[in-house]
Amino acid sequence: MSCHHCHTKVVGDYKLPPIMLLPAEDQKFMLDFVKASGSIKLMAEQMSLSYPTVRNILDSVIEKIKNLEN
Amino acid sequence: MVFIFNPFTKIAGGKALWIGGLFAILTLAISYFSHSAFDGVIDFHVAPFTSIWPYVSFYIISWLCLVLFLGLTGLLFTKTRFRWIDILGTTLLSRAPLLLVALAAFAIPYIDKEQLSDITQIHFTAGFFIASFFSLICIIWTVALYYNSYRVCINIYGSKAVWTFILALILAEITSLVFIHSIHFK
Repeated sequence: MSCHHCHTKVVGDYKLPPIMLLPAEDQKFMLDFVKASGSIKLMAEQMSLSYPTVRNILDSVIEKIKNLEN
Repeated sequence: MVFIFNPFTKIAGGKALWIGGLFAILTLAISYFSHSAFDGVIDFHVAPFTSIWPYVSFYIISWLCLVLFLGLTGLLFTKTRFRWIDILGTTLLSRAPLLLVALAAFAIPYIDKEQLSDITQIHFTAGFFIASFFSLICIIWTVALYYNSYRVCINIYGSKAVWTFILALILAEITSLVFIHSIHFK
């Protein structure tokens, strides 16, 4: 793991949690989802998307996490 | 361009239901005067009725048959916990292009069984062919909207989405025809 700005490098034999392995876009979605108290309806309003579209994004993130856990 | 074929990434649920409802009311009001009957999920015929109720019942039966079979397909083939309100709303909104078909029907005359038996006696105008072709395009547009509504609401994709949609559409079409004919054409 390294920082592109300060060039700090962390080297070690450890596993990152699945959420850390998700793309930045999905991590942001997860963060926003938690901040919206897990409300798909609220997320849909914030993202200007329909309820099923947001639920489909959530389903795809869940699927990615499950795959990373296996 | 994407929006006219798939508005459902932005609109679904109750919002789609009331917008679709407005389109349905307008379509049915025009249908009564242009004698356009939507007697099946993908059917359109010019048929004069003295009351508006056959047009209304055909429209509602067809819509609900589609909702039922798309929902049942979703229950059988996906793990997504979809909402029935999304299917109700998006499928009703998918029928919005039928408003244009109802308008085009003013240029399509009613042809009864007697006239059909001697087709050479019917005088087909250029307007008839243009309106018929335009109606066909609008019905194809409606089916494309049905498919995208199904994909978004049920969260299904790839070849599985295509064949399950075709299956649901065929079953909904048959069921709607059976219902409509058993009610109105006994």
